[in-house]
Amino acid sequence: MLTEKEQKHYQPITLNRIFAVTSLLFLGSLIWMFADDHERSWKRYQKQFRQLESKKVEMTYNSQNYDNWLMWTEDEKIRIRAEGDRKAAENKLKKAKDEHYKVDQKFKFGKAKYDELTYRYKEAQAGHKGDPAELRQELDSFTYEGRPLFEGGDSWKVALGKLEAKVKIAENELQALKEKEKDIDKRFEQELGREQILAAQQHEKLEVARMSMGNKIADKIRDLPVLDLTNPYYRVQQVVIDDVIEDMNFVQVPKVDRCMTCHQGMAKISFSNEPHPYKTHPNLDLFLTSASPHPVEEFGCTSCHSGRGRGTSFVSAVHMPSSHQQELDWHHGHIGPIPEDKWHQMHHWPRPMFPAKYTQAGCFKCHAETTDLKGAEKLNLGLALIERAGCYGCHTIEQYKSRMEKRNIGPSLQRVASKIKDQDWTKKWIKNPKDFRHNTWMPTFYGNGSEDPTIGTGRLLNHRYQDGKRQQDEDHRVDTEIHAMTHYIYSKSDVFDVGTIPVKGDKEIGRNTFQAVGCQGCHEVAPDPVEENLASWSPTDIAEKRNQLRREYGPNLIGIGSKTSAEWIYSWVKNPLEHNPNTEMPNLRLTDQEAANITAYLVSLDQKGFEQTIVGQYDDEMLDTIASEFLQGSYIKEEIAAKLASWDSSQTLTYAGQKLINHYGCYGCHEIPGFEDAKPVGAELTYHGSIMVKKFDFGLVQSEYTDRHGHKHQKDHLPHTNFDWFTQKLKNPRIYDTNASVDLDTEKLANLDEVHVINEFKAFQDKLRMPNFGFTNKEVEAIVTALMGFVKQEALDSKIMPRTAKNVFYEKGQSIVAEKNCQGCHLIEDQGHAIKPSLLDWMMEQPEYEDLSRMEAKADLVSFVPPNLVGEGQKVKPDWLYHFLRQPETIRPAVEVRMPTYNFTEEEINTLIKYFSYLEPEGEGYNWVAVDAWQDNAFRDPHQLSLSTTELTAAKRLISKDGHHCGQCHWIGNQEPENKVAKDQAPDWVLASQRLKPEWMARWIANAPALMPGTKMPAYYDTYDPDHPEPESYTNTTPFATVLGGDDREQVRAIRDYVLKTE
Amino acid sequence: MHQLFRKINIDWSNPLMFLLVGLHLAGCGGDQPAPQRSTPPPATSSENTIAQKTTGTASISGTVSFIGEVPKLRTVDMGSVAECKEQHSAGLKSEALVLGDGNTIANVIVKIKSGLPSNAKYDPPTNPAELDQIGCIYTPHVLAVQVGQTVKFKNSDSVIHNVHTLSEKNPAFNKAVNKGGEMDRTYDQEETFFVKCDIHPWMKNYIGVVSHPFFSVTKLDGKFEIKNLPVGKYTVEVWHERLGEKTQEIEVSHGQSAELDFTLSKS
Repeated sequence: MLTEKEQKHYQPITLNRIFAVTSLLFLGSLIWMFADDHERSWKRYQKQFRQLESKKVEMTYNSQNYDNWLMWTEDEKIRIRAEGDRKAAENKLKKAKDEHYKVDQKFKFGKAKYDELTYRYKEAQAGHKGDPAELRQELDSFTYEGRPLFEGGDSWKVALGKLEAKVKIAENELQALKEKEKDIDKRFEQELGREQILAAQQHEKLEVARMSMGNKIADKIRDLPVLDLTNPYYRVQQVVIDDVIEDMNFVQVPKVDRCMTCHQGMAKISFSNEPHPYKTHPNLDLFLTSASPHPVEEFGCTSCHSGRGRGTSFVSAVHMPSSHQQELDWHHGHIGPIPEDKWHQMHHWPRPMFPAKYTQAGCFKCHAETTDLKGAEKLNLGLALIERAGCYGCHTIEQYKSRMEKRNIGPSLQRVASKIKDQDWTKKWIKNPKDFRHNTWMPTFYGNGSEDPTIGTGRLLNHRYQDGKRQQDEDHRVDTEIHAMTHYIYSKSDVFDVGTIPVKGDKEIGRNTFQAVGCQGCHEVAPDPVEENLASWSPTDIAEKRNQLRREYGPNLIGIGSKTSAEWIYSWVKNPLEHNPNTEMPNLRLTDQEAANITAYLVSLDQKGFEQTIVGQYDDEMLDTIASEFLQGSYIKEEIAAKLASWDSSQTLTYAGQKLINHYGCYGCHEIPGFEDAKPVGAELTYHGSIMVKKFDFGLVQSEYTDRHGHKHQKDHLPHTNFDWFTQKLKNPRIYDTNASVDLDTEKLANLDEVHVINEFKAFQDKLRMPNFGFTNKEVEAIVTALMGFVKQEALDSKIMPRTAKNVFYEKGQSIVAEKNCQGCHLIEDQGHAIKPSLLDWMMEQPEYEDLSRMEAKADLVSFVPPNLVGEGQKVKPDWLYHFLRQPETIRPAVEVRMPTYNFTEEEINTLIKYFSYLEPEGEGYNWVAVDAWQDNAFRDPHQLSLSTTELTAAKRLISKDGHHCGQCHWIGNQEPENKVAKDQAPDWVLASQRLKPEWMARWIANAPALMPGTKMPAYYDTYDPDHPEPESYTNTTPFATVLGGDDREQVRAIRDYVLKTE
Repeated sequence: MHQLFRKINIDWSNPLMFLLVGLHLAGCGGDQPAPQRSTPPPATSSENTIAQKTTGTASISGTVSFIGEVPKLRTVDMGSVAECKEQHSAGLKSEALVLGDGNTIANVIVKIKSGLPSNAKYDPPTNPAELDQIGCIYTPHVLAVQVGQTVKFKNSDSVIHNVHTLSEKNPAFNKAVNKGGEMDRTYDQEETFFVKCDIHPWMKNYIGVVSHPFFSVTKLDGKFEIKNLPVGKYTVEVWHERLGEKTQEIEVSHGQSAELDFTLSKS
């Protein structure tokens, strides 16, 4: 025994035990694995969704009624079958058919035999094989029932016919029985309706209680562990986007999105009020559905939303919270259906989902050329803010490159000495521009620009303690820097002779003119700050906010009288381009008197000055310090000392000023002599949304938050996401040089008292230098949305807006419209008319409107507001538009707002013409106006028309007092309308032939409000339809039945041609 | 019978159902809920008729009058339109503020603003409300109609007019009405809006669309009466085109005739 033991170096029993235990463990883990897989969170979401859907379907139909009718159907069928025995009828038919077949067969066999005999007999007769006589005998003696048929009789046929009739009868009887059953089914369908039946059928698939026993069992079995690999009910659902490739580090794979595994109701309209993840997508017109421009099969979900499409759990899909509060809720499992699915961020996925509030960022990667993308209003606002704030002055952004080159975000400083004579004003302005104009877009470089504690620009000097000495040094430094920069720009400034004002202006008339001619499309005179003017993220509120930005396109003119001289203002408004060829300020063609009046008004706006800002004298010692900081890069200590000693203070000021301007990048927005070719100072933003979070310097900023129980918690860092970084940077651009503490609940600085620069080691030049724009929280959110959208196109080429001529000109046109602020005055693509509120105010001040209620004044506003350009592409001739954009002329007598003269390039004009044409339905495109061939007035030939005498008489009758009475409002050549007040008058017909497209005119004459809602021109023929396909069924209801046969198309055409012939 | 049970999908897990089916099988259930055989079941309707009292016998009446200095109003300038001018030989005063004796105000819409049963639905009157263009003015100057009630726009003049409604909640329109012509419109949303003739810019009118029948427009005597109100607490609103809106609250009981006067002034 012992030897045996020795021979085996193991003990079977022990081993068996170990084996038993491990296999049990293995089995256990296997079961655990299956169980775990079986219980994955998405399955639970699907189960909940099934219950929800079942309940919803149940509500869409009346199950009691359905069951009643179904039972009735069954009963009726049983009754019918009992009444007329279907089985018997079927038997009868079979019998008749059999009988017919039997006889028929018999006949066919007989005939075949007869034919054979005949053949053989004939053969024999012809001398072939066989004996003719014998065969004749055989033929004669051959009898069969059909024989008379060949010998003249038709009894066989009759007999067969009788049998056929019998079959028919039997068939009909059966058919009648079947029809009765069909009628029952029909009645069933009629009573319930298709939708009810479909709903009931769907319900039977969803609701176990309504399934047949067999289905009930199948329903259970198909989802059992292991068995569920064949055809389970609960399964991962996904779309594969073959032409979007994802880079999974060394492997390129097609995009796979499995979001619909949990978001099962996203394309079902009835789930719009359900909680996530079942909720319907908020915009099915634009997304998901096959009819929309972004069907889910082609775009998936993460193409827009980002995130990890392959993830099938809340965490692995890399959902991102919109606020810190939401993050806490998610983290503690308060996220709704499945509390176990606790959230944390998967840090290693480079493209986390956009938090819901930044979702529109996803639009930009494919619509990168857009300025105004329908449906992405927050993104549009962000882009508009970037444009208005001029971010691209310091940060290269590819989309804005052409605009950056113009350097006209702020006014040119080439001739600043002639504009602002008071250097002290300039110094104060640099120090604190918001002290002079609360809403200026000039950002704040020094100190606090606002009472909002979150807004601060950080300090220039390193100091840990806010003691008096440091504060004093700081003030000296600031004032000296300002002196140096001011000195530089004034010493380099050209002189511009602004001349004198030839006539005396009247302030009150000037104010009226200022309001009437359209200055307020781009300029405000707003002395007091307003509260956050973006009430919500609704498209209407965003549209209003964007109109506000349009009104702030040019500077708020408050206080202009204390900034510059009357002569300068006069010369500027008379001809801005003469001052600065790059300015966007157009020429309003003001007469000397008008310009003088406006000047008188603007000069009177001098009540506002700097209230707090004081700029002290500069400090020589500090100036030397500043200059030597810059010299340190190139010289050693002794050389610096020698240099500074050899310079007089003016030279030192110029040197330091130039370096400081270079440091702060002032030339990004202003034209400054000596900086014509300087490169922008900021980081490039073209693909800022793609930058890895770890490349952002979060500095030592801390954060704190309040939990559900009201306890404050401190974190020693900000949440590390790009949007948190952007948000804090925009709110407080120099925050990352500090150890400020951000309250995550309110997103404001938590304890301002403790904010101080803690980085003692950063030299002045290395410190953050971005100024503070004083953005509101909502503005920041919109800008961050845009910034997050600035991403490299991740192999999405096939999804980018196709580069068709239509899209290209559409986008280019939109960009010009934005650049020239056309929507400050016009309504284009349903956006704009920003000037409307100020025009209404102006109107109410006019003596003739004293008597009007605001409702009435609003109704009359249409007479004064620059036109709505809806349908412009269909309306005006391209040649005319070309001419008009070069040399505007008066069209509407009452509109005092003047279309200014822009110095458009020819390309810009043609792009605009194309843009308007492409806004119209397909097929309305213009040809590029041949600029070379274009000559002034070349298109002004009167329309070549021939009106017959009948037509002429008819036209005259139709436009007369007894007809449409056109002359009440319209100028007809020299004939003045009967309405003498300009606001009640309509355009002169003489203009029509040059300006308007005849096809459009006909539609306009017939039914103007249909083309332009709100127009004063009434509908005269509101059933007019020149494209009506069937002339016979065309109803033309014209009250002038006797004119031109009562045909409204003829009448409209006659009027149109008459208008065109007006001279 | 087997088939029958399959189709009605009985929930076997429900013991009550089991019991009911048992009764059905036995055929002895006197008032069993299963439908009668071979007779079509009545189509059950899911719509429940609201059985709440939406009208009553209470009424509110009163007078609207003007306080303050009566503003001077202009005479309407009808330009050179002879057809219009000759109908107003004595000139036509602006209708922006029409006052009666004792400065009572005409053309004020008085309506119940809130307090009615929230689910109450009122059928619109079948007779249309007429808005005539006669003498180149709109008659009446202020018209109140119920949601769904037909408004008949007429032109009794010998010249063409256009009716341009500036409604915002209801679809706006602008249509020429030839002499002797007329057209009908109905409105779905409660709203007070301005109506004008662009051809003759002095022609002005206001239409108040109200979602229930409890409204009234004052005449020269400034009096209004709202009848057939159910018992309740109401907010009553008066509206005038120039003097704006004002509300008062009042509680009425069964059969009561409550008095409620309003004063308006130029703000």
